[in-house]
Amino acid sequence: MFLVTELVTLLATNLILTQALGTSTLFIAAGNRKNLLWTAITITVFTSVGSGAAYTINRILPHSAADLTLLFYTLIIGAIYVLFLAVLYYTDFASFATARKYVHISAFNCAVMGTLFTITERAEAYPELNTFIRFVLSGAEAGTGFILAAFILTAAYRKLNSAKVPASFRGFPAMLVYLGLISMAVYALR
Amino acid sequence: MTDFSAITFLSVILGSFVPKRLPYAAKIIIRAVIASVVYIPVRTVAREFFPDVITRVGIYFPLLAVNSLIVVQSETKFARMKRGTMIASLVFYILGFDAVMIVTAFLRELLAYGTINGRLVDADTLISGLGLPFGGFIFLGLLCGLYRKVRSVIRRENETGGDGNVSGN
Repeated sequence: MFLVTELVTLLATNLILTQALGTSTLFIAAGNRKNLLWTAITITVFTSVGSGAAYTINRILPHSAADLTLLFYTLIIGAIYVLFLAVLYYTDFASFATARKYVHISAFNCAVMGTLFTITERAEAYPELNTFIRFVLSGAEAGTGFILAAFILTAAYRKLNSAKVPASFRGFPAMLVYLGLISMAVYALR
Repeated sequence: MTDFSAITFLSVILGSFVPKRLPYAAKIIIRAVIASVVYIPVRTVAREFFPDVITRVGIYFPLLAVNSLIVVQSETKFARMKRGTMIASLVFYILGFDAVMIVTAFLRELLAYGTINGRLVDADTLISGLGLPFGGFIFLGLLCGLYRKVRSVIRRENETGGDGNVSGN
């Protein structure tokens, strides 16, 4: 029962299904299951580490300089991007060429940036969420939500791109409608 | 929409001066930083002229700076073009995005809230779900499918010479 409750919570807080953030990244990665899984995992790393760093930025940056938030978040993600590639390069050079494409897709997108801004906005509304641990956990939660959405999309990906779907609706339009229906179900859960 | 166009246009143009010999990751980071810097004056101007819009758009506003034209297409598509071609192509891409935004926003607002640009119109049937994210997904998917259908019909018409003959003879 606990697992079901957690699953429902994850779905209900999912940024893709509730706020339409990171949809294009999801579609780019949806080409095959392996791509999707690794992209989703990489995005989870970005959202978790990025959220922790965003907390620090929020603490340092004065309120009067709020317009600079995006710039600092971009620098944070840039630093994580480089760090991630460096770790991959020095730990597993053999698979670096394959693995780096997931890092490229995952670094700068609405899923990651949207997570940082959503968590910050939520923390401003509910001060009890404004802690380092809560930021990292919320980042991990958003990333896990992305993985969940990725699995939901993968389940129907082949059918939505099959010849049985009218040519005009095959692929992207069908995937949008499908995500919309899942999103509607999630909306009912909230 | 104006903000999207301004941020995208300026960021891609300025980003085109990033040296091509740099590693891919470095170029993407520099382009993203450029977009974040361009975002600052655009936000300031937008706040001056459309203060309500900024509040209403909320966290989606800064996300304009990480749109796919800036962080993906700029490197995979625009960077391979000559500057003149790139500018023309970019302008048409932006106009295309703007057209989609106008049509989608107009229809969604009309059908979901019965208003056009915030002004009440005489709409009998409202579909409130269209104003929610899931409504956006479904509506955009349907519009996209409809657009493809219209485009394929027009293309077929052109291929057959527009005389209605689809037999190929």
